[in-house]
Amino acid sequence: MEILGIDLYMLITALLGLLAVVFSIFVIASRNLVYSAAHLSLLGLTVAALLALLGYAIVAILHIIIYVGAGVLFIVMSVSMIREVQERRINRLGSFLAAVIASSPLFYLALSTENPHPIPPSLADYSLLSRYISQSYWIPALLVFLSLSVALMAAVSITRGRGRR
Amino acid sequence: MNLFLFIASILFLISVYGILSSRNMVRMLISIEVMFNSVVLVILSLGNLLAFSGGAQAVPILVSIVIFAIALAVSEIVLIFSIMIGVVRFRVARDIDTEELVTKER
Repeated sequence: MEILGIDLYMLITALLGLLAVVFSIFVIASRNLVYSAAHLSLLGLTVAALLALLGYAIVAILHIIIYVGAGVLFIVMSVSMIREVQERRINRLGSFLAAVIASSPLFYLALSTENPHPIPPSLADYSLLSRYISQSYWIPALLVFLSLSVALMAAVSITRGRGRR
Repeated sequence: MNLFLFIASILFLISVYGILSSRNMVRMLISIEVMFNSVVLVILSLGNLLAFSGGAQAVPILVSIVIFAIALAVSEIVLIFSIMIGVVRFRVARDIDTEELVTKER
Protein backbone atom coordinates (compact mmCIF):
# COMPACT_ATOMS: atom_id res chain seq x y z
CA MET A 1 0.00 0.00 0.00
CA GLU A 2 1.34 3.43 -0.92
CA ILE A 3 0.61 6.97 0.28
CA LEU A 4 1.86 9.85 -1.95
CA GLY A 5 4.18 7.41 -3.70
CA ILE A 6 5.76 6.25 -0.42
CA ASP A 7 5.46 2.66 0.74
CA LEU A 8 3.34 2.65 3.93
CA TYR A 9 5.45 -0.16 5.45
CA MET A 10 8.65 1.84 5.06
CA LEU A 11 6.95 5.04 6.27
CA ILE A 12 5.81 3.36 9.51
CA THR A 13 9.25 1.77 9.92
CA ALA A 14 10.96 5.14 9.48
CA LEU A 15 8.61 6.84 11.97
CA LEU A 16 9.15 4.08 14.55
CA GLY A 17 12.90 4.26 13.95
CA LEU A 18 12.84 8.01 14.50
CA LEU A 19 10.92 7.50 17.74
CA ALA A 20 13.42 4.84 18.86
CA VAL A 21 16.36 7.16 18.20
CA VAL A 22 14.67 10.06 20.04
CA PHE A 23 13.86 7.86 23.06
CA SER A 24 17.41 6.47 23.18
CA ILE A 25 18.81 10.03 23.11
CA PHE A 26 16.48 10.88 26.02
CA VAL A 27 17.75 7.79 27.86
CA ILE A 28 21.31 9.08 27.60
CA ALA A 29 20.61 12.79 28.02
CA SER A 30 17.94 12.96 30.75
CA ARG A 31 19.33 14.44 33.94
CA ASN A 32 16.93 12.49 36.12
CA LEU A 33 17.59 8.73 36.12
CA VAL A 34 13.91 7.92 36.64
CA TYR A 35 13.07 9.70 33.38
CA SER A 36 15.95 7.83 31.75
CA ALA A 37 14.49 4.51 32.84
CA ALA A 38 10.99 5.57 31.76
CA HIS A 39 12.33 6.46 28.30
CA LEU A 40 14.01 3.05 28.21
CA SER A 41 10.58 1.44 28.59
CA LEU A 42 9.26 3.56 25.70
CA LEU A 43 12.30 2.53 23.66
CA GLY A 44 11.49 -1.12 24.45
CA LEU A 45 7.92 -0.64 23.19
CA THR A 46 9.18 0.99 19.97
CA VAL A 47 11.71 -1.79 19.36
CA ALA A 48 8.94 -4.35 19.95
CA ALA A 49 6.84 -2.59 17.28
CA LEU A 50 9.82 -2.76 14.88
CA LEU A 51 10.19 -6.49 15.61
CA ALA A 52 6.50 -6.97 14.86
CA LEU A 53 6.99 -5.13 11.55
CA LEU A 54 9.80 -7.59 10.72
CA GLY A 55 7.29 -10.41 11.22
CA TYR A 56 8.35 -11.65 14.67
CA ALA A 57 5.08 -11.11 16.51
CA ILE A 58 5.91 -13.69 19.20
CA VAL A 59 9.23 -12.05 20.01
CA ALA A 60 7.54 -8.62 20.09
CA ILE A 61 4.95 -9.87 22.58
CA LEU A 62 7.63 -11.49 24.76
CA HIS A 63 9.72 -8.31 24.55
CA ILE A 64 6.82 -6.22 25.82
CA ILE A 65 5.64 -8.65 28.51
CA ILE A 66 8.99 -9.89 29.87
CA TYR A 67 11.49 -7.16 29.05
CA VAL A 68 9.43 -3.96 29.31
CA GLY A 69 6.81 -5.28 31.72
CA ALA A 70 9.17 -6.93 34.17
CA GLY A 71 12.75 -5.83 33.55
CA VAL A 72 12.48 -2.17 32.71
CA LEU A 73 9.76 -1.50 35.28
CA PHE A 74 12.07 -3.10 37.84
CA ILE A 75 14.73 -0.55 36.79
CA VAL A 76 12.22 2.31 37.17
CA MET A 77 11.22 1.14 40.64
CA SER A 78 14.83 0.56 41.72
CA VAL A 79 16.05 3.93 40.46
CA SER A 80 13.16 5.76 42.11
CA MET A 81 14.28 4.28 45.47
CA ILE A 82 17.79 5.72 45.15
CA ARG A 83 18.81 9.25 46.01
CA GLU A 84 20.23 11.24 43.09
CA VAL A 85 23.93 12.06 43.11
CA GLN A 86 25.77 14.63 41.04
CA GLU A 87 26.59 13.08 37.66
CA ARG A 88 29.78 13.78 35.77
CA ARG A 89 30.32 13.44 32.03
CA ILE A 90 33.82 12.72 30.84
CA ASN A 91 35.57 13.14 27.51
CA ARG A 92 32.49 13.60 25.31
CA LEU A 93 34.39 13.94 22.03
CA GLY A 94 36.56 10.88 22.66
CA SER A 95 33.50 8.87 23.69
CA PHE A 96 31.65 9.91 20.53
CA LEU A 97 34.61 9.00 18.30
CA ALA A 98 34.95 5.62 20.02
CA ALA A 99 31.20 5.03 19.59
CA VAL A 100 31.40 5.90 15.87
CA ILE A 101 34.33 3.50 15.41
CA ALA A 102 32.57 0.74 17.36
CA SER A 103 29.35 1.05 15.38
CA SER A 104 30.92 1.57 11.93
CA PRO A 105 30.76 -2.17 10.98
CA LEU A 106 27.02 -2.11 11.69
CA PHE A 107 26.59 1.04 9.58
CA TYR A 108 28.54 -0.62 6.77
CA LEU A 109 26.29 -3.69 7.00
CA ALA A 110 23.18 -1.49 7.01
CA LEU A 111 24.30 0.50 3.98
CA SER A 112 25.41 -2.55 1.99
CA THR A 113 22.23 -4.64 2.37
CA GLU A 114 18.74 -4.20 1.03
CA ASN A 115 15.63 -3.49 3.05
CA PRO A 116 14.19 -6.77 4.37
CA HIS A 117 10.65 -7.94 3.76
CA PRO A 118 8.59 -9.33 6.64
CA ILE A 119 9.24 -13.03 7.09
CA PRO A 120 6.45 -15.50 6.36
CA PRO A 121 4.45 -16.29 9.55
CA SER A 122 5.32 -19.99 9.26
CA LEU A 123 8.99 -19.29 10.14
CA ALA A 124 8.22 -17.63 13.49
CA ASP A 125 5.16 -19.69 14.31
CA TYR A 126 4.39 -20.20 18.01
CA SER A 127 4.03 -23.98 17.74
CA LEU A 128 7.25 -24.27 15.72
CA LEU A 129 9.18 -22.20 18.27
CA SER A 130 7.77 -24.10 21.24
CA ARG A 131 8.70 -27.38 19.50
CA TYR A 132 12.23 -26.04 18.85
CA ILE A 133 12.68 -24.90 22.44
CA SER A 134 11.16 -27.96 24.10
CA GLN A 135 12.82 -30.58 21.87
CA SER A 136 16.03 -29.12 20.44
CA TYR A 137 16.92 -26.48 23.04
CA TRP A 138 15.60 -27.87 26.30
CA ILE A 139 18.98 -27.56 28.04
CA PRO A 140 19.30 -23.78 27.31
CA ALA A 141 15.65 -23.40 28.37
CA LEU A 142 16.43 -25.21 31.63
CA LEU A 143 19.50 -23.01 32.17
CA VAL A 144 17.45 -19.86 31.56
CA PHE A 145 14.82 -21.09 34.01
CA LEU A 146 17.52 -21.80 36.60
CA SER A 147 19.20 -18.41 36.07
CA LEU A 148 15.87 -16.62 36.47
CA SER A 149 15.18 -18.54 39.68
CA VAL A 150 18.66 -17.83 41.05
CA ALA A 151 18.33 -14.13 40.11
CA LEU A 152 14.98 -13.94 41.88
CA MET A 153 16.32 -15.59 45.04
CA ALA A 154 19.48 -13.45 44.98
CA ALA A 155 17.42 -10.28 44.51
CA VAL A 156 15.21 -11.14 47.48
CA SER A 157 18.15 -12.01 49.74
CA ILE A 158 20.20 -8.94 48.73
CA THR A 159 17.41 -6.42 49.14
CA ARG A 160 16.33 -7.92 52.47
CA GLY A 161 19.85 -7.67 53.88
CA ARG A 162 20.34 -5.00 56.53
CA GLY A 163 22.39 -1.91 55.69
CA ARG A 164 25.37 -0.90 57.80
CA ARG A 165 24.32 1.39 60.63
CA MET B 1 19.97 0.59 2.59
CA ASN B 2 18.56 -1.67 5.29
CA LEU B 3 16.45 0.66 7.44
CA PHE B 4 16.13 -1.75 10.38
CA LEU B 5 19.89 -2.29 10.56
CA PHE B 6 20.44 1.46 10.19
CA ILE B 7 18.15 2.17 13.16
CA ALA B 8 19.93 -0.55 15.17
CA SER B 9 23.30 1.00 14.28
CA ILE B 10 22.21 4.42 15.54
CA LEU B 11 20.91 2.87 18.77
CA PHE B 12 24.24 1.02 19.15
CA LEU B 13 26.18 4.27 18.60
CA ILE B 14 24.10 6.14 21.19
CA SER B 15 24.45 3.33 23.72
CA VAL B 16 28.26 3.10 23.34
CA TYR B 17 28.46 6.88 23.74
CA GLY B 18 26.30 6.66 26.88
CA ILE B 19 28.47 3.93 28.39
CA LEU B 20 31.76 5.68 27.67
CA SER B 21 30.79 9.24 28.56
CA SER B 22 29.06 8.64 31.88
CA ARG B 23 30.61 7.78 35.23
CA ASN B 24 27.28 6.96 36.83
CA MET B 25 26.74 3.21 37.33
CA VAL B 26 22.97 3.34 36.79
CA ARG B 27 23.32 5.39 33.60
CA MET B 28 25.89 2.92 32.28
CA LEU B 29 23.59 -0.02 33.01
CA ILE B 30 20.66 1.70 31.30
CA SER B 31 22.91 2.41 28.29
CA ILE B 32 23.77 -1.30 28.18
CA GLU B 33 20.02 -2.00 27.98
CA VAL B 34 19.78 0.32 24.95
CA MET B 35 22.61 -1.73 23.43
CA PHE B 36 20.65 -4.92 24.14
CA ASN B 37 17.66 -3.53 22.24
CA SER B 38 19.84 -2.66 19.27
CA VAL B 39 21.44 -6.12 19.24
CA VAL B 40 18.01 -7.82 19.26
CA LEU B 41 17.05 -5.68 16.29
CA VAL B 42 20.29 -6.57 14.48
CA ILE B 43 19.90 -10.33 15.04
CA LEU B 44 16.32 -10.43 13.81
CA SER B 45 17.04 -8.15 10.83
CA LEU B 46 19.81 -10.55 9.84
CA GLY B 47 17.28 -13.37 10.28
CA ASN B 48 15.04 -11.64 7.75
CA LEU B 49 17.94 -11.30 5.32
CA LEU B 50 18.76 -14.99 5.79
CA ALA B 51 15.13 -16.02 5.28
CA PHE B 52 15.12 -14.57 1.76
CA SER B 53 18.58 -15.78 0.76
CA GLY B 54 18.23 -19.51 1.24
CA GLY B 55 18.80 -19.70 4.99
CA ALA B 56 15.20 -19.93 6.16
CA GLN B 57 15.97 -22.86 8.45
CA ALA B 58 18.18 -20.56 10.56
CA VAL B 59 15.31 -18.21 11.43
CA PRO B 60 13.70 -20.33 14.22
CA ILE B 61 17.17 -20.80 15.74
CA LEU B 62 17.76 -17.03 15.79
CA VAL B 63 14.30 -16.44 17.27
CA SER B 64 14.99 -19.04 20.00
CA ILE B 65 18.31 -17.34 20.78
CA VAL B 66 16.58 -13.96 21.06
CA ILE B 67 13.88 -15.38 23.37
CA PHE B 68 16.59 -16.83 25.63
CA ALA B 69 18.48 -13.51 25.47
CA ILE B 70 15.39 -11.57 26.58
CA ALA B 71 14.86 -13.89 29.55
CA LEU B 72 18.54 -13.71 30.52
CA ALA B 73 18.53 -9.91 30.16
CA VAL B 74 15.68 -9.69 32.64
CA SER B 75 17.50 -11.93 35.14
CA GLU B 76 20.63 -9.79 34.67
CA ILE B 77 18.62 -6.60 35.28
CA VAL B 78 17.06 -8.03 38.45
CA LEU B 79 20.40 -9.23 39.82
CA ILE B 80 22.44 -6.11 39.00
CA PHE B 81 19.85 -3.66 40.29
CA SER B 82 19.39 -5.71 43.45
CA ILE B 83 23.14 -5.57 44.03
CA MET B 84 23.00 -1.85 43.36
CA ILE B 85 20.22 -1.36 45.91
CA GLY B 86 22.29 -3.38 48.37
CA VAL B 87 25.32 -1.18 47.65
CA VAL B 88 23.32 2.01 48.09
CA ARG B 89 21.88 0.71 51.36
CA PHE B 90 25.45 0.45 52.58
CA ARG B 91 25.68 4.15 51.71
CA VAL B 92 28.43 3.84 49.14
CA ALA B 93 28.50 6.25 46.23
CA ARG B 94 27.29 4.95 42.89
CA ASP B 95 30.16 6.48 40.96
CA ILE B 96 32.34 3.75 39.49
CA ASP B 97 35.61 5.56 40.22
CA THR B 98 37.50 3.43 42.71
CA GLU B 99 38.34 6.23 45.09
CA GLU B 100 34.67 7.22 45.34
CA LEU B 101 33.42 3.63 45.58
CA VAL B 102 35.03 3.28 48.97
CA THR B 103 34.00 6.70 50.27
CA LYS B 104 30.60 7.42 51.67
CA GLU B 105 27.98 9.23 49.64
CA ARG B 106 27.99 12.97 50.13
